[in-house]
Amino acid sequence: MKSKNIIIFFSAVLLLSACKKDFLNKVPYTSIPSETAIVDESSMQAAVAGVYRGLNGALFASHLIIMGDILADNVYQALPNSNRYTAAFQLNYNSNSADVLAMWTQGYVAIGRANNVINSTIASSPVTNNLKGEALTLRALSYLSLVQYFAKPYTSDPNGAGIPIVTTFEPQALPARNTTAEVYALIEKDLTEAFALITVAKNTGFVNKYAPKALLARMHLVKGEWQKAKDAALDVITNGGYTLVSAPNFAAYWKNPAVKTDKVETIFELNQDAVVNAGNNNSAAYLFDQAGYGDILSTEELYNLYNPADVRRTLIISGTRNGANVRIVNKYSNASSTDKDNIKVVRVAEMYLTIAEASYRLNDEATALTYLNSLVENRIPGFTGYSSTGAALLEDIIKERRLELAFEGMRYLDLQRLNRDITRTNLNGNYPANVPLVFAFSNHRRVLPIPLTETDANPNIVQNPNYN
Amino acid sequence: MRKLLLLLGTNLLFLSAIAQNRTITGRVVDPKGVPLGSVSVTPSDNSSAGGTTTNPAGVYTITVPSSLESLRFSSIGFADQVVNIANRTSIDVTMSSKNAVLDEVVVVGYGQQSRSKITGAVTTLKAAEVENIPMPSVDQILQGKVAGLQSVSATGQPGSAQQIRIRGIGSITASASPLFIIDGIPVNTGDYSNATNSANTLAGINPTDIETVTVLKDAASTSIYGSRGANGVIVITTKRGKSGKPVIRLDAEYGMGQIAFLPEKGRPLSRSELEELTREGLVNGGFTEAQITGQLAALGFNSTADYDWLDIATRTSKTEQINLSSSGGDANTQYYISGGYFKQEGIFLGSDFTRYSGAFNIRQKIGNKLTINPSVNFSFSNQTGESESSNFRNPVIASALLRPTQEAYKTDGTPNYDVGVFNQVYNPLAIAEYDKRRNNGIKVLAGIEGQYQILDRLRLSSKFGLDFLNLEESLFYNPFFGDARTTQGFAYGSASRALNYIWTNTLDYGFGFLGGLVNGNAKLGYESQNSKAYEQTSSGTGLPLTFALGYPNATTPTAQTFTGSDYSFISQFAALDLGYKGKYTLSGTFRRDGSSRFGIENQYANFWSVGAAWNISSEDFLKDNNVLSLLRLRASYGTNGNAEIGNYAARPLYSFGGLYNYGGIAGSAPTAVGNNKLTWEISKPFNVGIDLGLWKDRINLVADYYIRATESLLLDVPLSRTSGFSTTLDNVGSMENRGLELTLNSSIVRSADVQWNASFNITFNKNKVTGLFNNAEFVAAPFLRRVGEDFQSVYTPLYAGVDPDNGNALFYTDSTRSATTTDLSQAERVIIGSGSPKGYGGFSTDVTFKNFTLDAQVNFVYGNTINDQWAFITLGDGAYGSFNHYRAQLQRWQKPGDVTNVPAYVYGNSTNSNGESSRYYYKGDYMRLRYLTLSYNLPRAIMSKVKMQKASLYVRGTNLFTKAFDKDITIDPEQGITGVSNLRVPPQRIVSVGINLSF
Repeated sequence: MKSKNIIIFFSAVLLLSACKKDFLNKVPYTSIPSETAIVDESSMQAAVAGVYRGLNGALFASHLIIMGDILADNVYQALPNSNRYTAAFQLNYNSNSADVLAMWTQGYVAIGRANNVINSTIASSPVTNNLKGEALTLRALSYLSLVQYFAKPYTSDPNGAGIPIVTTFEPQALPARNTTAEVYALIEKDLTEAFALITVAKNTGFVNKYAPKALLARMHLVKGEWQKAKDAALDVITNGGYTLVSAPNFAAYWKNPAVKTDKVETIFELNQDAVVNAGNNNSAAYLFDQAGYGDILSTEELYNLYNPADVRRTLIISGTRNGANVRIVNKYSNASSTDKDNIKVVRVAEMYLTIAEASYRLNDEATALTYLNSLVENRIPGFTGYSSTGAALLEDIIKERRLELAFEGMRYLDLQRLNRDITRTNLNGNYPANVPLVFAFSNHRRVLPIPLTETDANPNIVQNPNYN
Repeated sequence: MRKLLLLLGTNLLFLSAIAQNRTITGRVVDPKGVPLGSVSVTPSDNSSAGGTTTNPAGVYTITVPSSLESLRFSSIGFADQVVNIANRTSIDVTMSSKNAVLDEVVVVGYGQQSRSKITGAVTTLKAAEVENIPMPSVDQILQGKVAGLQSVSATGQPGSAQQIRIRGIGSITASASPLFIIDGIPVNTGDYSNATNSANTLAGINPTDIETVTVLKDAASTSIYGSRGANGVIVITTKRGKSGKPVIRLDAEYGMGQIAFLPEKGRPLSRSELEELTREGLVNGGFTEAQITGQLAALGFNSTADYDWLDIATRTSKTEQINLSSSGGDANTQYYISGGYFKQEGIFLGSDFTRYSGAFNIRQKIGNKLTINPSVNFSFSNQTGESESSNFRNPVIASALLRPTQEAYKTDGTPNYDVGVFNQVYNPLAIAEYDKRRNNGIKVLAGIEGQYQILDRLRLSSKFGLDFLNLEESLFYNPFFGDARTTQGFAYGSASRALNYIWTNTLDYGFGFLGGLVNGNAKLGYESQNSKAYEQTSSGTGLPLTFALGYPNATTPTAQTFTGSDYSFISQFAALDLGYKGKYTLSGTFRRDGSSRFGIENQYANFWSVGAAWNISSEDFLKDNNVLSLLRLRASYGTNGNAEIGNYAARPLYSFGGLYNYGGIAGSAPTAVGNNKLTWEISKPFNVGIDLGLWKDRINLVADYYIRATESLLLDVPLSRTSGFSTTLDNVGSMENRGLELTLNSSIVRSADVQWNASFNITFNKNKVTGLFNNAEFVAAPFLRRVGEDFQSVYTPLYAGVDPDNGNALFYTDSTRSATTTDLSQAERVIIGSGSPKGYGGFSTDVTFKNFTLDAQVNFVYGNTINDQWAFITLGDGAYGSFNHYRAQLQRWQKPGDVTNVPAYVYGNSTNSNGESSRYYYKGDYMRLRYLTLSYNLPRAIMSKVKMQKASLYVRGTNLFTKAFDKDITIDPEQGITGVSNLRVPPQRIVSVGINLSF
């Protein structure tokens, strides 16, 4: 009987013995609780890397580059094709379009990551200030990219519906759209603060001191604030120390996939190194590369606009595709290498063009010509410079913007801020019969639809006109 | 194996030598008191020692080991009786008429129970129903066999995960799959693969090693599993040794397969058809004759190439399996040992599955009170699987989209991979030849159980179980073409292991009072489980520019990860059942669970159930009824939960790793919003059932009606994308499944030469969402989640056909169908049906004539819609003009007056006629002849001459015939749970031959 009692006792122990409390505490392997994510300089550095990477996905590597040209007149989609950006080319996208959703989502993912850095309460130091400045710049860049696509241009409707301003992490919030002017006010504030905070020199793959200033110049130009645009751009050139790449080095400059520190041409670029790009075929470069999809080609009209002596024309290869003579974009020549072309977010050439246009608008045609010609003479060996005046000078500046910044996603945004109709010139059968040649400024598709996914989840968002 | 057997034998000799014996005598009578001769009297633990039969006066004498607890009395026409010996030396027995249904012993949660005491809804399959089927895993075999259980395969790739739902979909975002318990271990199921295609962990268990599969469906049977019982429980026991002369069994099968069902409308076009269509599309697109010539040339129509890519991407597949087992033992020791080989090829290139499996278990009595039972089931498997969905390397997409004009071969006869020719979808021949995607798995289920009889009726059991999975995956993408051309090749390797161990302790007490009028069993248990999954992966680019290397090393390492995912459970549970006079049963269960998965504020919960049953046919007033042999009512209600919510779903997290690194700096980003209050989903199932037997159980009907209400459903609450997140989890939803299950078994002819049995089961299930976040509907394309509607309500614009005047696609502007528009964006989405079936089931019959048996099973599903989600390309009206199309596109509008459902074909079509709409949804109704087997048993006379117990040969057709009820269907109607097709490998039709031998 005694042994039975012992056994019953042991059974009871087995049944009732509770394991240690931490038996139920399982912590994840590669993640940490959000509240401990940004607590010191090194964890802040990691979080900032996450912001860059957020922008470095399809948003900058593809969508902004292709959309900025294919909605306008710089590139067309060849037949047969890989069906990328078909809706944009045919101008029949709607709120269901995957590309539109991806742009919206990825833009706000980067904004959210930047917000966490900006709002962190780590004691200020040169390192943390610099990191905050980088995050502020990247947040502003995201807003600037989104607001130009999803809202009417500031120059046509400054107080119309912009995009929601989100500066804190409140996942349950259902923000309404702020006005376009409010969004630009935030961008200006962020860039101004960033400029003050950044002191550390890094390679061009990171935001350096004059990157926020250059973006500020872009923003003022977009808003039509000519004096401020000119001042900021001048500051970048004179105090930032950035210089134009010379004509002999021009081809090598575009061929180089590495980041730099020499302050030649590049102010800020997104680094597409081998690690970032493992297995990624969704880059704009892959759409240009004839060994890739290769179905996004330069329009014949654009090619013809270049002076035969223009070094920029060497970035377009005359070749054949499916037996037809075509103009192949070669600005991103490393699509088939492991280290791919970085995405140039802002270059000093844009600053020259900004000063030229802003000066013209400020009735300073002399300065306009000076800056326009110092760029163009650098690009076209032997060219003696423009001497146009008045409206013709403005057209020359716009044309040079188009030629200089082709395939960098700027053309459509220029035509947006200028409130101009888009006229596609159909040479060499670039545009099939079912593709519209005129994209009037009044067309509702000149503003992208808010993605259906967003309006489904967030009833406070008002859709852009004529979409459902 | 022979050595093992020898070793075992020596063991047995030794053990039996130390056993002591005693002699028992008695008399056996029938219910009227008439002595019964030829009643077999055997030790109830199945040991062969000392078995005997009664003489014509009903008297027996038997000598058994004194450790033996009980004797079994069995006789044809009477129910088996198991009688406790206690200290008696004389035992008289009154046999009672057999009631096969009531007396069946059924595996239930944490034990076994006789049917007559079960208050819940429980269905059992026996070994014979799951053995020797040409499918790698048992979950696939359940299809159509169990009322209330829906089993579908999302893909026909061998060894891939199966989707099972019991009594409808009970969860929105958490897993809706049942809990699998194998030999007492809650196993990690589902897909553990990182990069290769889904690797089903259940495919690591050889179905032929399975003894029983029990499906627990209601509260009374599942609530003992607490926070994991809500989606039903499938309890599997593997084969154990039986005492007696050793039996050696050999089963072998060989089969060949093809695509089971390919609708004519879903076949790709021939070269001439595509050329005609493309030319017409170019004309419609306004191209000039010169441009048309140019475009046709660009599409390869200037060449002579003419390939049938469907034929190229598919093959006649082979399935083969060999299973060998042996079992035997004596009163004190029983063993079972087996080995198996299974290999199946997929019908598309680049998929196959091979498994080598083994099982071994032994049951040993040590002294009078202790039994130990170690067991192990293990397997090694290799799986190759290609990418599915829209991936360009998918051979399924290649079969549909490659043009016949794309040159398949180089001049030297090797596969052509010219990137100019295959600049999107790759040549599946070249992918199969030059790339690798495979995994190797090791699966071990091991356990040791000890049982100690503390008192006569009090037993302590302690079991330690181990569920181990090791999976190695490797990918090599060549540097010349395909996915990794731009990175000059890609190599990826991963090693993952999942170690899941569980310790279960139970006390079982059987009791009786009021002179045996009331009897019952009580169970008390404690269980702790810990599962750790760990994986490491590495990848690199820049492979040597050669095809010759088997394992090329990368020049640029691109990523390396070490990660894991763990969970744990601590549980206490109790169960009690009380019977009165064998007529009334009351049962109850209780369980308290704690889990690491739940938010820190909500870590523990209690679950319970009550059940009752009334065996009406055991009442005096029905005892002598000639028609009604069984009538039984059951009812149960209780609560249980669903804890399958992701191991860290409750935690707000920042993640580090390859996706967040930038410019050489290790990066981080917020990846989960988190919710500290997150907890299990609660289910409150109610069940009433009736068991009816007529004419001595020649007809048996089991009917169950259930209401399965679930609440606190985890919902991915959609967030504004402006938060940087798309969704977050919260316990906010509720849902209800109501349904009726009917199972009818009949034994139509029972004669010496002919036996004919037939059975039928059908399940009607109605699902309704009853609560959502703020009760606000939301769209989870293609479904609308709306309170009051079915969970899988398909929400899409209504296609209105084609304008006969101009060939434009028309869409109804709204659900009134009163106005149409050609602009899809002006058409409202409406609910057009559900992805879930209204009903499903199976019909099976077997006829035995002398030595021949013909066995058939038909499965059916009705009332759901299925969606060909890639039809916007394959039937894209020319929007994707550079691809081949399905034949349904040939019915396009061509000239004014044409009445058709397919719009005009315009090359580079920009009308959006191919946008998401009801056009690409089909009725999912189908019937499928799942199995048809003709087998021949060699006559007994021959058997005894060659000293064999059994030898049979059979021919089996699997998925021989399919009837789809939608005339426009382009895909196999058997799709995953959502009904959305995704360019996956379809099911195969297999014709196989096999033999079963027993010695």
